[in-house]
Amino acid sequence: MRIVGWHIDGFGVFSDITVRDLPPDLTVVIGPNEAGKSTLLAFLRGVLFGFPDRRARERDYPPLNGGRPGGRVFLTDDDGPATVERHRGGRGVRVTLPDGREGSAADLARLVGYADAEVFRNLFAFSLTELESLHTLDTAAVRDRIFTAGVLGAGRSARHAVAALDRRRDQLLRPRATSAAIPRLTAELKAVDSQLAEAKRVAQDHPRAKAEERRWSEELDRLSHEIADRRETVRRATTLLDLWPDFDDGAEARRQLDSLADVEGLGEDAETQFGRLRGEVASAAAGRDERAAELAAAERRLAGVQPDDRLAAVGPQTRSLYAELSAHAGRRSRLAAAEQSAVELRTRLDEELARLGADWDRTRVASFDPSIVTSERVRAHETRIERAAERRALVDEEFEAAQAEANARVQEARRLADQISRYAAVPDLAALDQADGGVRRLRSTLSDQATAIAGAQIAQRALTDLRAAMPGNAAPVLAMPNWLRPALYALAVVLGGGAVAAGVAGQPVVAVSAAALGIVLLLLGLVLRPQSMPSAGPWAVNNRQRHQERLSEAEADVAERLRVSATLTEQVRVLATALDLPPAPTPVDVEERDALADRQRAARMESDRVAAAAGVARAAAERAAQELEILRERTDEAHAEEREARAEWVDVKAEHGIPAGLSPRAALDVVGAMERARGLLRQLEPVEREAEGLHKVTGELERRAAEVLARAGVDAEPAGADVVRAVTLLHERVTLDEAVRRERALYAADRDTARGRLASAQQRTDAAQASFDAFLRAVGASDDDEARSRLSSSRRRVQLSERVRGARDRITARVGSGPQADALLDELRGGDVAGWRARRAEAEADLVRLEGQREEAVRRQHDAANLVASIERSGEVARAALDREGLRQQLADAIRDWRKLTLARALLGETLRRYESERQPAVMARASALFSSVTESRYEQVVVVDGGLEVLDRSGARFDTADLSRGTAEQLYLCIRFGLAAEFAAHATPLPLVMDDVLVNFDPERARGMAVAINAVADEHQVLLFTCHPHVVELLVQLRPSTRVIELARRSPTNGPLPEVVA
Amino acid sequence: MRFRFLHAADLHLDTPFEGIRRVEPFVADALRDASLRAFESLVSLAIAREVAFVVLAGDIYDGPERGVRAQLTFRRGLDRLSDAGIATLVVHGNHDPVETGWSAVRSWPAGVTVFGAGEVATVPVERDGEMIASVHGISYPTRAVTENLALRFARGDAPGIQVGLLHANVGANPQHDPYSPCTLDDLRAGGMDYWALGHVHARQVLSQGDPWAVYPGNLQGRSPKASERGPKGALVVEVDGTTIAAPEFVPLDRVRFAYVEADIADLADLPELQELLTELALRETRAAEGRSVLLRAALVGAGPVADDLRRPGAVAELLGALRDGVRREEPFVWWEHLADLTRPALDLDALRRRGDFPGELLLLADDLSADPERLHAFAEQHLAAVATPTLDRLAGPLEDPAEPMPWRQAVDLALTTLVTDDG
Repeated sequence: MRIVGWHIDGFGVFSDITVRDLPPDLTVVIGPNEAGKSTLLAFLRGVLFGFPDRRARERDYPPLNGGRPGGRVFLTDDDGPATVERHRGGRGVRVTLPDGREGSAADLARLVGYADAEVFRNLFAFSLTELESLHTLDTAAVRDRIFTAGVLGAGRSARHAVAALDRRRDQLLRPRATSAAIPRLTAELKAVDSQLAEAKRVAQDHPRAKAEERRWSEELDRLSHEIADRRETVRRATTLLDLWPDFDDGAEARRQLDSLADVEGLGEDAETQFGRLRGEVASAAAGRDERAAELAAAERRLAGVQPDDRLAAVGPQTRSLYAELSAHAGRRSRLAAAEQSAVELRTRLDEELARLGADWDRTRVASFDPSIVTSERVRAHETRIERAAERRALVDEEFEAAQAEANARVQEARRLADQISRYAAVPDLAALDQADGGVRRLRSTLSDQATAIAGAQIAQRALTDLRAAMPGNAAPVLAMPNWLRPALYALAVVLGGGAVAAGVAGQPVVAVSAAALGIVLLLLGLVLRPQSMPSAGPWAVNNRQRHQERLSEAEADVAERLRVSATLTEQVRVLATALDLPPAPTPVDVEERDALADRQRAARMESDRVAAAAGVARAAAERAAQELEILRERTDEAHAEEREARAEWVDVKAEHGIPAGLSPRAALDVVGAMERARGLLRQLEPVEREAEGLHKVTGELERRAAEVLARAGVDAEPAGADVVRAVTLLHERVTLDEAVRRERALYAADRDTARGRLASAQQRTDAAQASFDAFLRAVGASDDDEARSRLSSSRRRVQLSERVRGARDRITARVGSGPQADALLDELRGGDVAGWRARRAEAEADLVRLEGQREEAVRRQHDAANLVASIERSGEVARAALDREGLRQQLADAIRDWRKLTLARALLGETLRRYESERQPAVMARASALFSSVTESRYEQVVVVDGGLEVLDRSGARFDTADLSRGTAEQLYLCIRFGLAAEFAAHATPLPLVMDDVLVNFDPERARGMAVAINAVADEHQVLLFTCHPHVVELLVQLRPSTRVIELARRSPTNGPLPEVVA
Repeated sequence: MRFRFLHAADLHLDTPFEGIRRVEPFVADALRDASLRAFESLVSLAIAREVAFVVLAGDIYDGPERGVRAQLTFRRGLDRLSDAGIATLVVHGNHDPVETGWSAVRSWPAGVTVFGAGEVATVPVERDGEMIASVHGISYPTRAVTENLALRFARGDAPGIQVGLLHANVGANPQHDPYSPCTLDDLRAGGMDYWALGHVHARQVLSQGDPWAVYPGNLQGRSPKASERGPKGALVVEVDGTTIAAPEFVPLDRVRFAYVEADIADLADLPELQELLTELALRETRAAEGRSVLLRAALVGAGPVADDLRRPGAVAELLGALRDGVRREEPFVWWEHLADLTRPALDLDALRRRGDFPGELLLLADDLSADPERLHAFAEQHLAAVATPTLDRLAGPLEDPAEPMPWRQAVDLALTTLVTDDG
């Protein structure tokens, strides 16, 4: 395939560019930097192989001059022309086949030989960058780069790929490296296998552990049985030894009993009965004696108490009187209080009666009608009068104050009104403003006038000078240098302007001075005239004409200035007249007028202020007058109210006969005394009645008390407090006598009871004695002694029987009954005490030994049980098995990875071997031919030796690529690349070779050599070479005149279309 | 009479699990107890459903050594069934033949029948005084039983249904050892109403009535293999007189194996791949209904992500990131393995026609692929370093590297190492 042209719609600096009819051999694109060579390369690569993704780190080349980004590349191959169209962001590539049909992506792949951008870049593209990068490499790297240039690795050399795979393989497995993954995992797996085997072995030990546990359990049972047996032996022997004393004693008692004579008639309880009956007799006699003593004591107590009959007779009355004593005492107390209170009330009543007068007594006070007048009514009148008077006084005070205030306001208003009249002559503010404006305009106009006059005078003088300077005219009075007059005029104008400025700034003296000086200078200029030039000859005619012209101009100027001056003068006059100034006022006049206006303004402002104050004062006076009227009304009301209150009191006094001269307070005093007397009287009368009643009641009680005391045998006739004491004493005696009577009754009852009990005791004594007598007769005894003797014998028999029975019972309680008890008894009868002791000692010794053995068996059985439980709980087998499986999988994965890496490496190695044996020789042959050519046969051949490159010179000497100079190494690199491209083309679709300024760094000789090589390649291959060096173009064109040269101009985004130049 | 019975097989108690790479301790703990807990769930199910009897069709244990934990767990389970009045009938299979191995259990509780290996025995099952079933069974004496044991079964005359309990390979299933090989016709000839089969771990119904022939599958998945994935459990069979209803599958597994594929074609980068894998894991988690999941994923397809995956350690990093995102307690999702089966984004046809070095390499690979003998020789020549008996024993049998998938991966690796800048 070769490229025949392109059309760029928009790409970088290119827009709507078409190139066609590229030759099949060599095309050179020349252009300076920034002309678009790289852009063109990127365009071709993008259209053919796809524009790089925006994520790729490649330049974008957006259309800077418009147009849709992309375009078309025109191709041709053996089938004919084809077009590949692609735009960035479009719907993809569009291929037009030779027959006009639209092709597919497969067609494009076929057209470009199934290469991609990377293959194109590495096989068919030659850049200056990769050559220059050789300079950055060391010798070994340069050698490697050159060598791998001949290997068709897309992006990497095959050897690098092999090395990368080897590194990954080594991490998995390498000789004698135990840290690599596979041997490490193998070791771990073996270790886990051991753990698993051990865990299984332990688990499989379960039956043995169970058997061990059982064996020790059985041993434990056996020992327990033997121990129990020995303990039985000890127990039996101990029992025999313990029972022997009882057994022996029982036997002895039996023998003694058999030797005793039998006593008849006595029961077993005869002695008991004897003792009991004797005891009963003694007990009954003792009881009888006690009862007799009780009776005697009761009779003595009875005889010791005697009551008083007189007290019994007055008992009820005495109790009654005693009950009243408390009330009597209270009555006596109230009586005393009432009498005391009555005395006090009488005394106070007498005092009030004395206040009222000699004709006042209790009867009159009692008969006084309180409804006539009461203190409340009088107090009410007093209060009303006092309040009315207070209110009236307050209002009077307010009125006086308001009146004074109103007067002050009126006076103030009058004063201010007087002040206003003094400013009547002052103009108002509008007039003053107008005057100010007039003064300002007058000032300005005066200044303009002065300037205009000065200008007119200057012009006039100039005119005069001109006239005088007319050729042939007489000389002026005074001559001066030509430059002096203009200077004087200029200075006068400056001074005039300064006068105006000073006047505006309010500095009249300065303004006047400057104006005067300016006028002087102006006049001086007018008087003096410059020297004139002599007139002579033909020259004078022209001069005269020109002078005439200037003269006319000057005259016109003067006339204009005079007109302006006159106008300003008139304005001054008008303004001055309006301000009451002379028609031609001086600046002083103007300043004086201005000062007057200022004074008038100040006066006007003062007048206005006073007028405002006067208005305020008038308003205040009017308000004060209004308030005064209001207060006047209130004052009148207060006075009327007071008068009414007083008149009412007078009517009350007249109505009730209160002395007219009494004031309400005095009247209150009289009424008060009356009321107090009545009050006292009301208190006194009930008190007196009460005292009388109390006196009557207390007297009655005292009489009765005297009577009762007499009957009781008390001689005294007490009264008052003595009555209470006497009655109280009598009451105590009566109470005491009653107690004596009750006690006597109790004593009598006790005596009767004691008599009854004594009788019963006697009966019991008699009965006990009878029983005892009967017993004696029953046992055949006549008396106590005989009975005791018989009973003693019986007792002995009983004791012995008890001993026998006791021994038997104890033995029976210990051994029980049954065959075993019988056997024990038989053995007991044998009496082998020594044998029993010996047997017991032996059994105790065996026990010690057997218990020791059992303790050991318990421990061993416990250990075995723990082992069994541990095995049964353990998950070690499962854990180890899981670990093993995990490791096994990991190892299997490592082995798989190693296999994959190894096979991949082997595949790479085999391909490399094949390439080196089948393809590389052709590459090297082509490279050798080219290299020989470019080095002018200095080096004849390039060979591959032991995986490296060597070059042979014409003498056959071998050189390593590291021995070559950089320039020669670059040449060799390019020749190998050419050879590779040619070899590739021989086996696949050849693509154009694209070279980007690859000759630029070569010296002329080498450049020429490489140009020859490129030319040779172009014989078989389409070559597109980009350069910015004209000498390269000349070189190639020289070698191949048919070379198509395309010139690119340096472009900017605003440049127009690229001009096409055809070589 | 209406009743139900429970049919399970291939308990493989205390199974060590196969094909699982190293896991973290919390996963190991769950796996270690999974089979035992599944069996405890089986016992609870039988008691809850008040089944009349339980039939266990072989491979109770995972091996002849029969771990102590497994045996004691089995015994405790049988005790519970016995206490609940449920009869248990057991045959042993190739993994736990009766004549090999040792037993920590000397006696079985009442109601438990372990069929011997000599001949087919018949055990009646009664309920409320009525005969409801006769269970016929025979155990394996040794691991490899090649006799067709199905031919020894014969229908009895007792009332109720006739159940055949047999550990066998029906229909020569190639994924399982050919022990007690038989056909469906052999089963029909046996005259049973219900063949309670064991040995094949994938649940399947070989015959729906006359007779029923059913593999319940194993109780707990043991490896990431296809037959071990998905729900595992037991069957509850309703019977009304002599009419047997379709068995109801009840999942009892504690840890479930799952497999997902992630196609990288439309993915832009590794984070998107991780996100896709996470979504796939979530889907599997929901399907597992509260069980822990051991998830194996295969990355397939071609795309730009393939190049990222080629970077050394990339797959391990991705796997680590996925594992970092899971909870460390049950129920968990454990990423067991990520297999990179992606293909490089290369146009191999174009590459072949290019004529450059990668093209040459591809052509050579094609030549080798076309000649299996030559390929084998090529592989043997270069893989001798790892072809040792020790490694074979330790790592176990691996696939032939000359098989299409491994060979393709090697070729892809060579190409990508050549055309990319990594390595």
